[in-house]
Amino acid sequence: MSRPPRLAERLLGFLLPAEEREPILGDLEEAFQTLPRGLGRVVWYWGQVVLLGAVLTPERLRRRASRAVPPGREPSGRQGVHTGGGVGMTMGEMATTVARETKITLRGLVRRPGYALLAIITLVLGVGAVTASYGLLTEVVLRPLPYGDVDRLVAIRTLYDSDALGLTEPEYQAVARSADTFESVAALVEPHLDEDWIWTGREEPRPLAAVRVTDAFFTTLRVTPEVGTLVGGESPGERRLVLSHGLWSALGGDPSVVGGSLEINGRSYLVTGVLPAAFEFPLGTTEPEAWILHTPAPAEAGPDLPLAYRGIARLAPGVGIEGAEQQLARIVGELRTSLGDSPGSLLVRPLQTDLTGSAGRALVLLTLSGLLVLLVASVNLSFLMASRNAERREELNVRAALGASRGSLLRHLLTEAGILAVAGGAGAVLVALVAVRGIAEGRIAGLERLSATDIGGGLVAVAVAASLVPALVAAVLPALRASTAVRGLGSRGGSASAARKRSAWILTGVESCMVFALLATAALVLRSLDAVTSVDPGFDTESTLAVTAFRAPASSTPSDGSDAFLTTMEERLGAIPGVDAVGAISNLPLSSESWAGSLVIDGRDDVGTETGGTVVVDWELVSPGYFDAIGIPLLQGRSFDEGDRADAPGVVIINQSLARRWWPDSSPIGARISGGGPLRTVVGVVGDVKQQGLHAGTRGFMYLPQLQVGSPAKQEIVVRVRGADPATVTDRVRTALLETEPGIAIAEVRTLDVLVAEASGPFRLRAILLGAFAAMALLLGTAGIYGVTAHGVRVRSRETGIRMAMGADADRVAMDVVFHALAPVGAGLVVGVALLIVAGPLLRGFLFGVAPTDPLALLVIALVLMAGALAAVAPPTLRARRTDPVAMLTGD
Amino acid sequence: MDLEGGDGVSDRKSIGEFEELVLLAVLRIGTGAYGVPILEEIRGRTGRHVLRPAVYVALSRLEAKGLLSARMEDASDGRGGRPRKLYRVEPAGLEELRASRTALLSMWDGLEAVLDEG
Repeated sequence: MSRPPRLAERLLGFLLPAEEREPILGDLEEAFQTLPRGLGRVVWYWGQVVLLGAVLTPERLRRRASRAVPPGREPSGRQGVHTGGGVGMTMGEMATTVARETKITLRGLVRRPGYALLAIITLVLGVGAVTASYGLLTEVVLRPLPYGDVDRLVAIRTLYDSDALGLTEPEYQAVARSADTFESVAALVEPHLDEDWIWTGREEPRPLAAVRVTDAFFTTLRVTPEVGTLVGGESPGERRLVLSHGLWSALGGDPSVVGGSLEINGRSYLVTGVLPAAFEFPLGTTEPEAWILHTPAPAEAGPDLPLAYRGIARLAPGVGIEGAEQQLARIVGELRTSLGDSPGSLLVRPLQTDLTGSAGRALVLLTLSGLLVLLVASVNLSFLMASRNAERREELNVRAALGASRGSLLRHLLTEAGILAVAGGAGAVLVALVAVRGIAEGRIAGLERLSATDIGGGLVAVAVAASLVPALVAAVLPALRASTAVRGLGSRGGSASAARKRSAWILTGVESCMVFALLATAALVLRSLDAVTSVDPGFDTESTLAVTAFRAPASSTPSDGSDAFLTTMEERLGAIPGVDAVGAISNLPLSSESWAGSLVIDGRDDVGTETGGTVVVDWELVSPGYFDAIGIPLLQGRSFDEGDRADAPGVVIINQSLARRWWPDSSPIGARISGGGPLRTVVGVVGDVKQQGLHAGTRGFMYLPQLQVGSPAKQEIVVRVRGADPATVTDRVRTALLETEPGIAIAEVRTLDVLVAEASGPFRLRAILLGAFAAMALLLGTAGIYGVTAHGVRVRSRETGIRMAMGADADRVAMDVVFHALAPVGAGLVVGVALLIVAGPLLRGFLFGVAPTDPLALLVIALVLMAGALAAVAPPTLRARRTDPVAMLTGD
Repeated sequence: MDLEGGDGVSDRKSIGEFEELVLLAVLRIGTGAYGVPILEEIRGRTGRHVLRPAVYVALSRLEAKGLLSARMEDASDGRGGRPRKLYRVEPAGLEELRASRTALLSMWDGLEAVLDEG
């Protein structure tokens, strides 16, 4: 059961009279719980808050006021109107004054809806951008993970090349023994090496999202169980697991589940406890439903594979991260020397960074862009307010002449800014909420921490600050100037002062610079997206289906040659009309998952000498038909066939990168190599494939024959369809698979096109968000330049009139206007380019196939910005050109 | 000017039509009358779209006039552990309703035929 939005609740609590607060909040929550879950009821709740606040707060103020009035005097709404000052005012009087000022200001704003609307839209765009991006940043990166004393937790990884990998078993054991560095050490068994968990003890077996963790995992994190206990038991042979809150609720949420058992992969596991609902451990994949408490039992591992441990540890008191890293370097150095392994380094970093860092940099960039949009909006707002104040200088002068104090004029301007800020801020919160929710519902890779329910507090605080600050600054600066100007009555403001001109020039320049920076970043990211989508993945995506299936564990007993699944499956699926080729692999390309080991080449001791001892080679297990089905070209030698069985000599196929790297001038065929197991003979070379993602480089890769090595439970089955839409055979493929092996669990069916599109997802998201921000900035920037130019033309209209009366040419006047308007834009552009050159290295990580200073992108953006500026300048220029000197000089 | 929003029909009468509805709702519900069921009762019986704040304002005014009394009931589930404010009609409230009913009925007396025609 989810709660009402916390911030709305708090806000209402503040607005309501103390004696009514609790019961009304209770009533609202009760009504809230009866509504269907979703965005609708959150909006409903906020609506109720606004309504109740609007109706009941004045009631509260009125009561306070009547309490504050001395006995014997009737409370009157008119009290305090003329008292002007804050000192000595009762709360009630102050409220009345504020209410009255608000009413007057509102009336003024309604009379000029254009100005108010423009100011509010400007604020909504600017504040909305920064609020939404900050909302993402706090939710995904900054929100502390729900562990006790999370600052003392670190992640421990091994560095190979520049990849952070898991620890080996001996490394983990050594780390776990270093009691003076760590208070407690635990680990998660890297999921991609043992991901095949099938929940078998039910009518229809289904894949279970499970991960293995060491016994001390939850105690190291200091997680309090919802039910039961989260630690392993005493008897080491017993299989135990902890349920996620979600799975426990799905099972009925009965505490008696603890102590019972769950059958996974045909084995019974004791349920020791249930995690609290708030628990999370972002792994970048599906949220685990079950946490299996790990007791080393090699039989459960994949085919001849060592396990990799993602170490987590709680620093001992007084030990810092650097100290821990030095300690570990020593321990692991000793260990590796004793094992005859070459020394590598261990990486220790805060757990929070380790788990949320991947999305972090992108979101920081996004927030910075949001801030730029806000700055552009603020500059616009100050232009808007300044020109409005200039326009009503007459009105202000009259007010001053009638006895209004400087303070009261200032109060009026501040009230106006406040009203605009509140309206703009409220709009921005709505925009941000909708945007963040939309993104949350999109379930985007890297943003899994974004839960759609808990956005609130910080977000509104940011929105309020982000809209109040610029609005008040924009109001106060001109207001101070306006109220000084008031003293010199009769000043008509015929020509703008040099100082004001200068500040407008600088502001326009700054605005153009920021708009340029945003546009350029967006353009670069867009070009990266374009580059990523045109990357050749190395296989044929057309009319091909990929089916993710999990075999029941008992039937995937490997390598004795008796397993007929692959052969039967290829035969049956191949017999479906329209199907051209069928194959299977343990992990699809672009999945950023693959098995890995250290490369060994028989008779070559130069392997790894330059990288400090180890060369990582990735590998997967394939069926004979795989290369044909997915369209990876065979370049040398042969493919796997039915003869590559357990009793035949060990064979392997390698990719072109590996062949080029180690056999640049000869053929690798016949060489004997290994990626962590026994040596095998290379029988073929195939084309390179993007295994780790479209933007990742291609590494050395090995394919092992499943018929020989054994089949994993997880099978990615690739079905190539002739000409037809692959979706038309989906049902038949399913049926044929179930016929081949009745217990098989089909997890996902999609086309390879979809797979490729998903792989470019992060670039697409960045391009969309930054593109939206850039578009907003361009819109605001153009509006700003228009506003300044139009204002300038209006202010200088007398001067223009005089010039034209003196015989100045209309074209000359127009040129002057254009030049004045575009000079700061040009200056902004120059600074913007310089900025990009400086910030280039920061951007590089987000780009692909394009340099941060890509001349084409920068040139196009500069032209776009100039075109926008010209479009903005055109109408005022035409107006100046048409200035009638006579009308201008006589009419006033 | 009457800032309290009275209807100006009678000097004696101190409650408006909506307050009367709220008072009746509390009476109908009996024990266990608090915000949520009161709102539902009025919505259900009159078919009017009643705004929540209007109910709370009416309740607090009726309480201030001594026509209703209220007590807090302890924290309860499904409400975030917050208490209910339970209302009961006081004798003065009952008297008010009685007077209003009498007045209305006597005004209607003999007019039933008009309704049938419509």
